[in-house]
Amino acid sequence: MKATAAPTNNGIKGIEDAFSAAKQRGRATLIPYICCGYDSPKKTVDILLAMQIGGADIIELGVPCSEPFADGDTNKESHKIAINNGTTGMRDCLRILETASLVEEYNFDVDNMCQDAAMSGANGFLMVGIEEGKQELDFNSICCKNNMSSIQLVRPGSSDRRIADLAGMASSFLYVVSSKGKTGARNALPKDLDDAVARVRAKTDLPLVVGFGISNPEMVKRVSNLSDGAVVGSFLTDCIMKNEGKVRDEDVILQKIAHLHRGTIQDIGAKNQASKLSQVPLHVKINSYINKSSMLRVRRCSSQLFRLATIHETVNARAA
Amino acid sequence: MCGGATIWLKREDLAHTGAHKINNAIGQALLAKRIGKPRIIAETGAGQHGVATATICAKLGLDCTVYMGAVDCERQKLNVFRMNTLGAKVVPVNEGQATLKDAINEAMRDWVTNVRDTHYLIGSAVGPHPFPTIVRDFQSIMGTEMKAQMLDKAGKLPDVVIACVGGGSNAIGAFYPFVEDKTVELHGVEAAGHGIDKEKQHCATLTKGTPGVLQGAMTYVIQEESGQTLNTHSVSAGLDYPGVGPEHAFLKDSGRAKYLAVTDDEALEGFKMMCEYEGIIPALETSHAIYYAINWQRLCPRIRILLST
Repeated sequence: MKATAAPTNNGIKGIEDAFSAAKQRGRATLIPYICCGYDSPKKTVDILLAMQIGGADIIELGVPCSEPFADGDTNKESHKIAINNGTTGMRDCLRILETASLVEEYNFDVDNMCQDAAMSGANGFLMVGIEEGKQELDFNSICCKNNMSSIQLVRPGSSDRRIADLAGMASSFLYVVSSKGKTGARNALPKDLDDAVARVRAKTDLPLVVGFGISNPEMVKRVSNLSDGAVVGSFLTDCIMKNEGKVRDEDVILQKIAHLHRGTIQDIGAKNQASKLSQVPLHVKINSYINKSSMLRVRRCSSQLFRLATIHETVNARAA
Repeated sequence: MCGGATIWLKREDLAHTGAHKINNAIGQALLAKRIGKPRIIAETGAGQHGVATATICAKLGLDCTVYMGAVDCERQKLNVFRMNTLGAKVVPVNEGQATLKDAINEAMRDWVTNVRDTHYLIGSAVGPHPFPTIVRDFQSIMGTEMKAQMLDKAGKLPDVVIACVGGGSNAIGAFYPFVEDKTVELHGVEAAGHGIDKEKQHCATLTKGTPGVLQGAMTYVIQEESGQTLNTHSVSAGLDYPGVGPEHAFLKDSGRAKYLAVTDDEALEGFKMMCEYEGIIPALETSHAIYYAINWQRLCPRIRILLST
């Protein structure tokens, strides 16, 4: 299948628009996550569409990885199933995302990957497993050059200095990890979450979203009142895993997203709101590059259908 | 039999708990104590690192949990028994291939959850920085001793240093003090399992792998083109790992060290020879290096080989 035209892409602006639209409605953003290819390539497309219809502002889409060592049981299982059912790499994910549109031959060179992702409508990447220092700065530079957002993860144990560095590297928003440990639905959010978000807010004016463990509208509400968005992942995958088949999986997701969405309305007195929506990252060297033989785990974003979907995967860089 | 050459053995099997692993375990356990972490977690393949960790934790009064692949628990039962006896909790890991790689993943999951009071006492020269260098530094006591003892006993440095490579703690410890001695060749021996040409039937990472990121380090990895890790096989649990310490990747790329692979059958032949001719029962891991040393020496007589066991 060859597409007639490449989808348009507005890069970082797409993310900015999502936050700005939510802000105008007095809401925080809702960012669901699903593993690409879980439980089948076709199903992923239906689920992503259901997420969008249900009210998702941004979608995070994981590229399955054989060694997801920061993930809990649910995500681990979904990665395994996706791989077993044929979604093993970036190329497969592109195919799923773009179903009836273009699929370019892909070189896993980071610069090329950014360009291809931009061509196909992505807005940014969320990298996991990248090395601090040169590697992450190089990656950031390439993203910046291609008008892709590179989304930084702030972990609970991060020092103030590290948070400041991450804030400097961000171009659109930062992802604050709610609690220590692996991904997975939890019963409650940590008591000191307010302080944790405030600590990051002190270093940046960009939007902050909170993820890890969020699994009901009440939790979304609490997060919405102290940040600019909530990421919901394992909970949704759990819902699909527990679905006994009387209702279609995509309908389950549609209903769950709509339900969670109610929690995004911010109360008067909501804290830590962003006062700017994008920035040119610090320390960016436009001409730097990542060693072609290097390998990165990347979450890729696509915004054409889904505003923003991020994928993470091990990109095996091979020279063209 | 060996063409008249001399093979010197560095008998790390005579160290307390029966392997070089104790060198690193003591160092890191003291480090954990110094930084005030009362709980230790570790992964283990063959069980040697688990036993070393359990031993030092018992000695220092630290809480100890060891993650071990379920397959390895079965093939190294005796070591599971030893760890339990020493008061450690052994957690079998059923994920993936249920071997070393999966035990490391599980230990990482524990660590990210309990990092405040837990030190991850990693056993091989792998994982995120600075682990590969910590392990190297503690293990390099082997190479330092080898060098001093060779100068003492033989009057000069060896021509070749040979060691087996799985994650690579034994080899990096043996090689590191010799890196600047350009007359000394460094040879690492990997496990070729059923043969390096059979996909998923070997774990010769440096011979057959490609650059990638595994468990926090950029190194050679046995992987698909898409970056997913491939299954591996070796008769020895301690070498059965799809990655390798990043410094070995560097030594390979810089040409300072050579890495070759020996199959299961060949390793067993090396094992038998060492038992029958020397009366030493070596580990299956070391047997790979033994076979290689004997075989190689047939071709190059009159050299001094130093073999790290």
